[in-house]
Amino acid sequence: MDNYVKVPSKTNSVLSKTSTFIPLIQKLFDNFIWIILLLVFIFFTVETNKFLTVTNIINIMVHSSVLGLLVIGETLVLLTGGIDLSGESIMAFCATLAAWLILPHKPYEGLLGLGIGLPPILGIILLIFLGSLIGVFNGILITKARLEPFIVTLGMQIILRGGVYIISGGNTFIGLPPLYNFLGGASLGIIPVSIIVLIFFYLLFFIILTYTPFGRYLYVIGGNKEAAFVAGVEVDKNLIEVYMLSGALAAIAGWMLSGRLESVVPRLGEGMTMEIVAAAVMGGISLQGGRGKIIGAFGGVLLLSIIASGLNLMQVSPFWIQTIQGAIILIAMLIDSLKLHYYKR
Amino acid sequence: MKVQKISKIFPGVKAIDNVDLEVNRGEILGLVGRNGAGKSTLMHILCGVFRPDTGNIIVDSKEYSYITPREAIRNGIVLVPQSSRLILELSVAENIMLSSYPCSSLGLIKWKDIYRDAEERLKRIGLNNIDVKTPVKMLKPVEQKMIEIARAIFTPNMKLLILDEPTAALPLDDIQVLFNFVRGLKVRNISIIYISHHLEEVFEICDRVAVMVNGKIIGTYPVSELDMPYLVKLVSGEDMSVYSRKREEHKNRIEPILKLENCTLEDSFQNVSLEIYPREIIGFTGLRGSGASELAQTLYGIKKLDSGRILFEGRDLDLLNPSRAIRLGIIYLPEDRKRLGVINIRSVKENITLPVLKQLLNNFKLLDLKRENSLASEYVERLGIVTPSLDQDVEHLSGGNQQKVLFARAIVTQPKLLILEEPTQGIDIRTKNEIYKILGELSIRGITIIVVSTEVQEILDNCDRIYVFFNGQITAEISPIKEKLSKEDLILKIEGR
Repeated sequence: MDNYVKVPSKTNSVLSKTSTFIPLIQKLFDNFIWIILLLVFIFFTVETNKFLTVTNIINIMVHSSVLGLLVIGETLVLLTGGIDLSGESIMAFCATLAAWLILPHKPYEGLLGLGIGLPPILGIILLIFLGSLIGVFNGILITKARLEPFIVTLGMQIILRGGVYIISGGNTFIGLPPLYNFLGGASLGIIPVSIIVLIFFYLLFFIILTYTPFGRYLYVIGGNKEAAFVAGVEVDKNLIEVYMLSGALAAIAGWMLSGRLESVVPRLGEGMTMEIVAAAVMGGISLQGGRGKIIGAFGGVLLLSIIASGLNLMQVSPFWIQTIQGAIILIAMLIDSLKLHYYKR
Repeated sequence: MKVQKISKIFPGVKAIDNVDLEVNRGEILGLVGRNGAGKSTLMHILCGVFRPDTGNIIVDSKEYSYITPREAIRNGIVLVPQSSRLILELSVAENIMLSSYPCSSLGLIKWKDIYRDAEERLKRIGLNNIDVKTPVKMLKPVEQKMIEIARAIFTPNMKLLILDEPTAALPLDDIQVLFNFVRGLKVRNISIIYISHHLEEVFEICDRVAVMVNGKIIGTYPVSELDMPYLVKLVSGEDMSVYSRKREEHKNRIEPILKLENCTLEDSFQNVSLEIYPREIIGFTGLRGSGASELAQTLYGIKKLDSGRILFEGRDLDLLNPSRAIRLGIIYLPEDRKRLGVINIRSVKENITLPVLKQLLNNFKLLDLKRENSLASEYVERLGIVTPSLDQDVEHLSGGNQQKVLFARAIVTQPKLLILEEPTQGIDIRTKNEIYKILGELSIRGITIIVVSTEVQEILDNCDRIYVFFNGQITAEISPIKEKLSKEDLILKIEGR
């Protein structure tokens, strides 16, 4: 009893009883995405002299930026133990709607542009707002109606892709104003704006996940939702916020990609979902929720982009590129499963 | 069945240290020790879940350096874990026959045979009065336990049955039923390893008892050569009598901190009225389903009242959710630690500071990780939580230490009212005492405590007042200080007799 009343001393006898030693193998496992990344990097540098050039590195980063934004949203959702499959369609739908409202002219009568010529800045605000709104809707269906995240977001993915075709009639929007294309297309010096924005968002969400209660709640909810509720975490509110952020980030990614292409195609982002989930999971974000670091997910994004770029430079056929990417995802998962096995042994 | 010089090292801990153990045919061997002494690890090695780093396992004079789960089953070693592995939705017969459904030549299941075989098997071990077609979820807990044991012993070539805390979830009066059943199995020449924290059970049912301390077996003794105080001393490594706090009658009963007026939650409790005063330790006790547990959860906002009024510090308590309750100064520790308590895969630190994160922000509205660390380590120190570091995942701690982590999480919110459900379930005697001491301390510091418990001795030893629940009603209010009440009397009241 004395021990309990006493003001705790600074020396931590209980804590220091056994030392914490992390075996080397565990360290390797924790950082394995970076090890693979390094190996792949070295391989391409040796194999082709066009790989390690400033232009190519910038190119890889530009290609990483859209995927990277989507992966941030996915990471947040995966950490809570959910999954978001709607990102690829949210980006297309929001970009399509924004372009439709912004374009002042109707080049092909009745097909393109509403013709009201909404100021681009308002269009962009609307785009982000709309992405958030769709995310909130996902979140409400998941928390209040208690539907499975997989089903809700898959349904949303299909609905919104349909919405894209309804608005565009299957046509491509072109002639968007420079202000709209700025995020995806402009550069500051030699550094493209999209890379700066990408790095900004990763830093921002690193801080959010590490240094805010909200970030901590995501891990805790993913660890044990019911226990989190009993410990006073407002689970539903936090989950809705997470899907909202994921939707908003997808919308920004759509803005970025259409700006880079200087057009909005109806197939914008189609089929990216598996790449998004794979990058996050390869980066150590657990599909069961509760484990993983955002910086690792960034590593997953870089890995996918580097492989695509490197194989491209080696003039490997695109059919093979897809096959090799799939194989690398499987191998990465295999190593991840070995890691879990090692921890549980 | 024998193990020799078994060791197992986990990252940072030597879980099992050079252990020898021998079980004879047809004997019941008790295995006792504190949480984290290595009992479950050792048993998992026997069942093939873990590979030992050194040593041998000898079954029927065959020697293995490790066995796989399949080999364990082939050698007739089966573990019945603390929490049930029955499939609740399926019938008794389907559960019993699970590993070997009889099939016709077309590969279709022969349902008649399943029911007939299951019935015959149950009869052979004296469970005549269980209908094999009932879904398992309809059975009483003790019947479920017996069905699970029955399934285990019909493993072909059955030799060694390991029972891990078989009585943990059972009501008092059913424990004897289970004991009679287990004694009956001895005649079938099966060896049993019986793990329990309830040392009195060991005396009642075991032939010999092995005591485990810090990964070592310090001795194996015939039960007839032991007495209770000596066994307690062996297990805890020191002289210890069960702690009992000095209680006081709270005369200063002007303003109740909590007042319930005609509270009703359909199907759980009806028209409950009571008053609780500051600094009291109140016991809620009753059989499972008596409403005590549901009332506790209602006070924390997990369940919603159908009618009636709750006054907390004189004001109407309108609880939307636990988060609101914590802000008002109420905190609750659930019975089901694994499901509702700890966040298994997150660290000790994160588990402790979870409810107070918003109070740990610096000027930039960011978490002050240094302050969080020192807060967590303060509570780790105060409650004597044994962990290699603050960043250790809670799942690697022993049950007792996990419970202490939850205590730390509760106290860190500086509550006015602390509600505990079965605070010492599955916890060794020494940690139990520590928890009772903490309760006493907290009450001295002005915290009001409600303990919901089916453990009669615990309620009698620690509470200032006791409310007995039966069928959703309060059937008795007892002040142990004023009226001497024996354990047996209280059990009669709990059972509604």
